[in-house]
Amino acid sequence: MHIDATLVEAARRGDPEAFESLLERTHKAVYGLVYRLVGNHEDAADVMQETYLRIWRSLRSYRGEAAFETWAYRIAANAAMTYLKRRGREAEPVDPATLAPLERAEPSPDEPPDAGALEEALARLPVAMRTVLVMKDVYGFSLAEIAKQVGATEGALKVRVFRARRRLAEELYGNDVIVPMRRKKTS
Amino acid sequence: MNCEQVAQYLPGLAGDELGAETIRWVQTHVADCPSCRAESARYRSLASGLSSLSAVEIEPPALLAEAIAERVRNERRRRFLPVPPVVSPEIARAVADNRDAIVSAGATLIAAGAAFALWRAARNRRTTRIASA
Repeated sequence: MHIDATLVEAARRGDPEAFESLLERTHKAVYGLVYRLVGNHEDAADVMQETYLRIWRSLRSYRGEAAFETWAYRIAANAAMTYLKRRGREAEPVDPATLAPLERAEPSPDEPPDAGALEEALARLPVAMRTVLVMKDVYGFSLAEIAKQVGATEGALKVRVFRARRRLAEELYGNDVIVPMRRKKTS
Repeated sequence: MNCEQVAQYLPGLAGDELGAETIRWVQTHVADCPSCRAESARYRSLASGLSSLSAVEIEPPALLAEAIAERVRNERRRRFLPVPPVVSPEIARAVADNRDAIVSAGATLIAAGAAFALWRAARNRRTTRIASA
């Protein structure tokens, strides 16, 4: 999505039609992020309302340091994280043990798995893992940005990202093709 | 250095999270180890698949954009309406706490007003009778 700066400026000055045009042009892309973070359409629709209210309220303070779409993504991620924190454990996906097994990708190391399998595997991850992977690996947020959004240190976040990628690989390829990690000794 | 030690860093090889020293250390092992090389390639494929997901649209529910636009319009209208006079919370609390006393004081005032009106009417009638006699 590329948004014309003059349209953003008109919306910033309070032109209602310009704002609605911005909404029309950006909402599908923003919805993709929100849906992947919260994991279902009903919650995603609620978060989208909150996101665009926040965008409308803070549009006057938007100075154009980042592209409008990047700024909108940040607001959407923040609204989704607030929503997920409020939902707590209710937001967790259904226990994977109760789900039908994922149709596993052929463990070909060189070809990316198809988008449908990836989406399904992402949806099965615990919320804390799914959210960091979606922000970091799907939408390219920086570690510093995600750390601010989830309230963690960058060091802790790195560990979470590695674990999430590993868990995603296990979901897609099965445990048997993933190299086991050294277990920490427990005394 | 063995596979189990290296395994925890393999998910970081395709990203930008590892330091140069760690990358060198892990790559030295990966170059000589077919299973870690295959896993490292798998993480690279995963990274490439994940980064292209952002371009895959997820269809929002029908009329979502219209519902959001309506909500923002309502918010705009609400913002530009004149603000109604606000009773301070202290006054509202004091009224709620003393409701019975306020009601009985009001009733007493009304009763006193009615008694005064009756007395005045009776006095006016007496004055008129004396004057006409």
